[in-house]
This record gives sequence, structure tokens and C-alpha cells, in this order.
Amino acid sequence: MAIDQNDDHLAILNDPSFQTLLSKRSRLRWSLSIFLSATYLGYGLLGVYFPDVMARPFFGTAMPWVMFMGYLIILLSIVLSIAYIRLVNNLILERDSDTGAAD
Amino acid sequence: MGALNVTAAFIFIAFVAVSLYITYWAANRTRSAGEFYTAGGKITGFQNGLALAGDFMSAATFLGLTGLIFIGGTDAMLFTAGIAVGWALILFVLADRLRNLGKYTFADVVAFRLHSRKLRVLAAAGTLTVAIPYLIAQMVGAGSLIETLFGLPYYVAVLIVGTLMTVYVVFGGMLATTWVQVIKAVLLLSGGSALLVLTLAQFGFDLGAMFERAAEVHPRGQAIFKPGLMLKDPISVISLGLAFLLGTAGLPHVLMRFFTVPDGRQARRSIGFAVVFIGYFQAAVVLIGFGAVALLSGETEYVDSAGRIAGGANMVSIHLSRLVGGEAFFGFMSAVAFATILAVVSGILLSASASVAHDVYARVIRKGQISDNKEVQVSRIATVVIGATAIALSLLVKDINVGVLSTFALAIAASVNFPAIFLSLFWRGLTTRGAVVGGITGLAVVVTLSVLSPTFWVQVLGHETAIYPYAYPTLFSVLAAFFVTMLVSKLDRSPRAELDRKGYDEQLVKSELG
Repeated sequence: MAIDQNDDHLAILNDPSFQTLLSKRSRLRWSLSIFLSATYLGYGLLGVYFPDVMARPFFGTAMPWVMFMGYLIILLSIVLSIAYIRLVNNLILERDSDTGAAD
Repeated sequence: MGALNVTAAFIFIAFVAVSLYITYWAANRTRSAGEFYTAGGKITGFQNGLALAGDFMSAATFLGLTGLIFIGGTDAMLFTAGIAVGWALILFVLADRLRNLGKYTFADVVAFRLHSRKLRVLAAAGTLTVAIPYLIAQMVGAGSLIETLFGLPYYVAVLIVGTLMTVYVVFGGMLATTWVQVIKAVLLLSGGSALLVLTLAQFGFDLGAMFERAAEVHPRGQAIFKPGLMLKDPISVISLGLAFLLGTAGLPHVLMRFFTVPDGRQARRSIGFAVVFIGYFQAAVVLIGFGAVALLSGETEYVDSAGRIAGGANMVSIHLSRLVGGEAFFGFMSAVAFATILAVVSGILLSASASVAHDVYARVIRKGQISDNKEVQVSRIATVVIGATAIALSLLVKDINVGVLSTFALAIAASVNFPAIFLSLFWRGLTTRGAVVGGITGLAVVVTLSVLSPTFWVQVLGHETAIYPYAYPTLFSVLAAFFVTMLVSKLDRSPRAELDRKGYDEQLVKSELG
């Protein structure tokens, strides 16, 4: 939290363990974001192009497909969020033990 | 209806008493600017998760969504799923970076490496154009709700809500606002769950029976399960989807909550809890909505033969509470709905006054030359002025369509605030000039398209056909904002642009490590 000296951040930036953390986090961030947004927008478009199919009851239940899939997306958002938090916390722990630095 | 419900009055008075006590308790702990704006950064991830969920579970999501299902059937699923996805995206993309870079407002983050004063003016414009319509939408909704529930005149109801929210914020700052929000979130989650259980019990907990009955009694029959009652074309669907995916991440009162936790780890945790609470609640609301279709249709006391709902579409969950839970439960849910609005408006008011006092007054007008005490004093004055303005405007626009107003606010959040925050965090090339020109473009496109859209051009101004045929402007306004911001940044050869790009490395390290 110190007032940033110029060399300080450059040293951290060029540190390999920091670079690993950055690239792993950004891969995780963008793959989850793109996957989830695409799933959701695709779901919306299914409703536009195949409304009749989406209105059909989901196997053996009275719940229509459109609702069942909507619920799956809510569940997916929750599951991916929890997974993301775990993974990021682990990545940060890994780096801390690499550098031996306590923040 | 109209007659005083004893349970409702009792629970509501109890809520007000508890919240005023919390405000009194918080007032003694709210002296510095940091305490006023962000409760000193001492809120835990769990508390903040509840408060975040509370910020979003507004009257619009609880009351509005059940009404929407009643009218638009399963199209409402696009709203509920979009909300859950939007919150997950905030976690992936923004949460801990915001915490690590900012202090009190999201402008702190955008101004980290860009020209501070210019960006703060833009951010303040983005905050106020989101906060004030949102505030008015909630207060008008509250006024009509109380008018129907307690038989109080509209202006009395608006004055009560407006005065209470101002008192919470002026004296208790973020600490009181957070606790009011936490209590309300617990009330709403438990009230909603109870309503769900009572509703399902009417069908012997057989979902199939509930859906069958809903299709039998609704005037549209099986069509309520078919997507497309409200949203027929791909552009409307994607525009609406983008408003949820990106708009939530541009709401100033939501963004401000990240500064109330101690570090990035707690920021991630708070969103984790928020996603769980919000996802659960949205899922429950959909079932409650279809339960309402099944139970209320045909009950002439609540829905007339033309399918019009007594007291308006926002009253669906309230009517349902009475039908399945009797007078006492109806009173409880009415009081919870009122508490919900009260808590949400307090959070919005706080973010608006923080923007005026911290961004505009302390940083732009006084250029940072201001004592802590003085800044808190200015925030309190700003709170009273904005609170009074919101009350006055709400009294003037009683008949405004609340849904239109909140969608407009969400579109501005997605098109002005979000592109600036996102590009400042992830694109080295962003320059001050690009952010300012892009932000103004986003704002202009939202306002223009909203005026030309069917909701305003046809329904408000009474023209025959809309010039812009789609219901939501977000798709075009977000694209325009991103495109112009990036183009102007690319072409920017000024010395300032050099500094802006150079600052990225330092920002990147700090955003990751705090």
C-alpha cells in the first residue's frame, strides 16, 4: 500500500511469479466471462428462433424448456462464481509461497 | 385494501425504529470521510454480500418481475437469468481490481492513471444521470405502493420515504446504510421464501399441477410458456441482455460497495455471497410469478375480466401474499416491500452525494485541498440537497412509468460508466480524451435512442410509429461508446495521452496486489 515508488512496481511487474499470476488469472477471467455471456445470449436467441421448441415441457415435467434452461444458467452462474473464487485464492496463495512474501 | 393493516403498520414501524437506532449507533462511528463513504472499509465479505444482494433486490426485481411474468410469461426468464450472469461477470472482471485501486467512488479507479479532474466530472455526470432516475423510479413506486397499502396520500408517502433515507445517510453514512440493507435483505429473502412455500403448498408442492393450472386460467393459455410475448426480435433480446450483463457493473451504488471491505479477497467473497443470494431469489421469484398466474387469474377481487391487475402490475406479489397467507402475512410482505425500497434509495442517495462531494467538490473544485472534516460536512449537505431534489421530482412526476425510468438508468450505466471502467482496467491504450469523448457519446446515444424508441416516442409523445423500433438502446449505445472511446484514444497524440498509457503498468501491479 506504500506510495508507489517508480522502481517498485517495475520490479514486481517483471517478476516471473507475478507474470504467471497475471496470465493465469486473465485466462481464467476471459474464458469464464466469454463462456457465460455466450451461453446466456445464445439462450436468449434460442427463444427468438425456436419459441415452439422452448415452450415444450422438459422431459416428463410440466416445466417448459425455456424455464429449465434459465434455471440452469442461474445455477451455472453460481457454480462458476464459487469455482472462480477458489481458483483465484489458490493462485494468489501459490504466488505468495513462491515469493515468500507476506502482503 | 386501503384500510390500515395492523400487521403491516406494526412491522413497518418496528423496521423504522430499528433502522433509526442503527443510524444513531452508526452516527457515533461516522466521523472521517472514509467512515462516511465506506464504513472505514471494515464490512466483512458476508455482510457486504447480503448488502450487495439487498442493493439489487429492489422493488423492481421483486414486485416488478412477478408483474412481468404475469404479463409476459417466460420472457421474464431472460431478466432473471441475465441478472445472475451479470453478477458473476462483475466477480470475474471487476470486483477485486476495483477494491485494490479505489478509495471511495468508482471515479477513483478510472482517474488512477488518467487526468483526474476531467474523468471525475464525467464520472459524476454518469453517477447522477443513473442515480437520479433510479431514485425517482423507486420513490414513485414506493409512493404508489404505500398509497394502495396504507391508504396514505401519495405525497405523504414520498415525504416519509425521502425523509427517512436522508436521515439514514446524513447521520449514519455507509455504516447505517449497510446495516439497513443487510436487515432488509434478510427480511426479503425470508419473506420471499415463505411466500414461495405457501404458494407451492396450494398445489400440494406439485410444480406440474401449478404450471398446468397457470396455463388453464391465464387468458393467453399455453402461450405464457412460449418465449416472445414481449421480446420478439434478436436485437431487442441482445440489447436487453447487454443491459443486464454490463449495466449492473456500471451502477454507482453497487460499485461503491466494493470499497467497504478490507481487501481484494473479501471483495471476491462478497460477490460470491451476492451471486448465491441473488440467484436463489431470482429463481424463487419466477416460481412465485407463475404461482401468481395460477392463483390470481379469475379471482375478480385481484384481476378483472380484461386481465388488469388491481393496483397495477407491481401489486401481483402483494395480492398473492394475501391470498395464500392471509391478512397477517399480507401485512408482513407489504412492510417488507416498503423496507426494501427504503434501503435501496438510501444506498443510491449515498453514492450520488459521494460523487458530488468527493469527486466534484473535493477533487475538482478544491483540487484535493480540503480537510477530512470539511469533506464530510460537504457530503452531508450534498445528501440533503439531493434528497430534497429527489423528493420534489418524485412529487412532480407521479404518473411516470417506473419500469421505463429504471431501464433508462441501467442503459446509461452500461453505456457511460461501464466502458470507462472496463477500458481503464484492461486496455493500456485508453487515454483521457478517449474516455471523455466516448462517455459523452454513450450518454448522447442512450438519450437520443430512448426518446425515439416506442416507449417514449409513441407512448409518451403520442406519435404513430417509433423512429427507433427497438425497446432498448443498449446494443447500439454500448457499441458506440466502446468504438468512439477506442478510436479517439488511438488517434490521441497529446502529451497527456503519453502519460495515460505510461501509467498502465503501475495500475496493473496495484490492481492485482492492492
